[in-house]
Amino acid sequence: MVEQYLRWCGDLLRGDLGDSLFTGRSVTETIAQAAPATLSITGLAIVIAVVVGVGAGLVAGLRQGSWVDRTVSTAATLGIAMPSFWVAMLLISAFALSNRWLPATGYAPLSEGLWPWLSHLILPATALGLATAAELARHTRGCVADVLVRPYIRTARARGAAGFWLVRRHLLRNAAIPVVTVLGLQAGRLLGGAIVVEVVAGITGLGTTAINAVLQRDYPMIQGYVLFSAVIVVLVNLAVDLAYGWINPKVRTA
Amino acid sequence: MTAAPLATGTAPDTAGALLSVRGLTLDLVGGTPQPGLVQGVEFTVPKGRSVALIGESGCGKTLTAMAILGLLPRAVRVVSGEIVFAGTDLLTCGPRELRRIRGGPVGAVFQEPMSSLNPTMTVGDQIAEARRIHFREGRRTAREHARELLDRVGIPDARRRLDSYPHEMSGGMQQRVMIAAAIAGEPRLVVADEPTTALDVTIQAEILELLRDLRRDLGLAVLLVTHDLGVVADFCDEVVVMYAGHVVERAPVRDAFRTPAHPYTSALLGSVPRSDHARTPLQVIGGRVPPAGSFPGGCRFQPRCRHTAPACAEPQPDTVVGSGHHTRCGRVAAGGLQPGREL
Repeated sequence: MVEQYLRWCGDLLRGDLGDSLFTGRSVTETIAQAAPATLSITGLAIVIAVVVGVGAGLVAGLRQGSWVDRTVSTAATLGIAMPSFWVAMLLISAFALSNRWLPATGYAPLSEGLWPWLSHLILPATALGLATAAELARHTRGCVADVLVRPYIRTARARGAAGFWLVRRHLLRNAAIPVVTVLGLQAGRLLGGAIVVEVVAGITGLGTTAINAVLQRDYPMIQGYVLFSAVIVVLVNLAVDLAYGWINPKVRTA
Repeated sequence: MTAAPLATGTAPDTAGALLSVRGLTLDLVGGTPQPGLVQGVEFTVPKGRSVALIGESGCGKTLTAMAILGLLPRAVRVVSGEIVFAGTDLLTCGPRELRRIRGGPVGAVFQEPMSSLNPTMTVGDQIAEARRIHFREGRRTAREHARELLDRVGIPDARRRLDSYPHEMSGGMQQRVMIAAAIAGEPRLVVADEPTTALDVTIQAEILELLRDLRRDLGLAVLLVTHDLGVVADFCDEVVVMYAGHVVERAPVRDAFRTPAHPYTSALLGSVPRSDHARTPLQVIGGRVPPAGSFPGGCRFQPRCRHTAPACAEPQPDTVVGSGHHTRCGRVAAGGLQPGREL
């Protein structure tokens, strides 16, 4: 066992993850082929989650108790409760089957053009990003509400700061600090969640590859997938830490 | 300045006043509504003078100051009264006018500089902010002014310090930054809410010294909210004593300290440790300020007062007992009690 593991590690250093037990193709190659689809979905899901979630949370936090706030809070609770595969099916049936606006399944690489790529991704990425958007909206709302009652906001108001000026200069950065942390945690979850959505949307990405590998007990493939996911999660955390330093001056010197 | 009781009915009080607060009444709404959190508060701040607002915690000093700045918490509502600053009633003037005044002609310094400065903004940007908002200065001009202001409040190496963040500075430095930011808008009045409370004693003295210099050089009027009588004696011309939401006495500082005309003022003075009374027990005022909502009728100090009489349950009128010396003690007004430290 130990010897096997050491040999695997040694090969790894040379960029060789072994060959699949079933297809016979190298694991590295298989992952390289499947990764773009998955990373595209996850990336777009993050973008959607940040834009929708942070935007809605910000408005809700600034207009506490208003109908906007109540709508956002209700929608966020729903968003967290709905499983992504179900949302994906609903979206596909509404936008791809009932009205043939968008393709129901499949994936087109970016090399075929922006729109073909995007059109295949919008539905699964929305389905995937919705729960994260809901989570972010709730957090953002909480953070905004929290920052608004801080003494330094009062000081800024006493200086004549108000409206957009106050939000941009005093609120956003302070409220963003905890939100970025949550986003980092969510990124890992999105990568895992992509597996489910890929299957529903019929996209051959890492998720389907991983599921097949598990069902076929294709150990080299599974090892390769786990390693790849781990690397991505580590990279995301690194990005979060860097963003943290950029947002929060207290972290910079430490 | 003479102690002779000349004032008779006429109110020369408001003439030449930069700020005058009249009949200010604040209610707590929502949750459990509590009327009369602050009731009928009256006082003036003359141009270039320094007025202290004193009292124990929970007496409504800070609320009164926040009302002047238009920064009351949502749950507190102005019921009646007016706050006139240089001819404008701040309570009715509308948000646009209020924004013009805040940070411009009226500056503010708060307690606990650490939490009152934005942790994610350089001190230079925070000082420059009032310049940019009120004088529409560009980034560079405002920054140059911020540097001058840092110099002015005695921070060495000002140019480098502009790019520091608050957490990189000591408490005293942070409070200097707060003061620099407060005077950036070239104010005529600075409202200082316990500016020295969170600081070491030596730093307190430095900050007061700085405020005194600025007052002299810029002709600033200062409304100083504090519970430190030493600071009042040292720094202020006039004193307004608040108890449980009422102004119980206001007077020139000398008169208030020599001949306090309200038992609460006298008790406050008596509870200050004095070097010439070493080794004698420190006097304290028994009990504590009642929580808002359970204020007694009439004189609100009566449950803790040594001189309570049946008449104290009646509303106490504001009575003039000397030049600019007002009390809200009916017994003193009626001559039943003599003003003085033995009160």
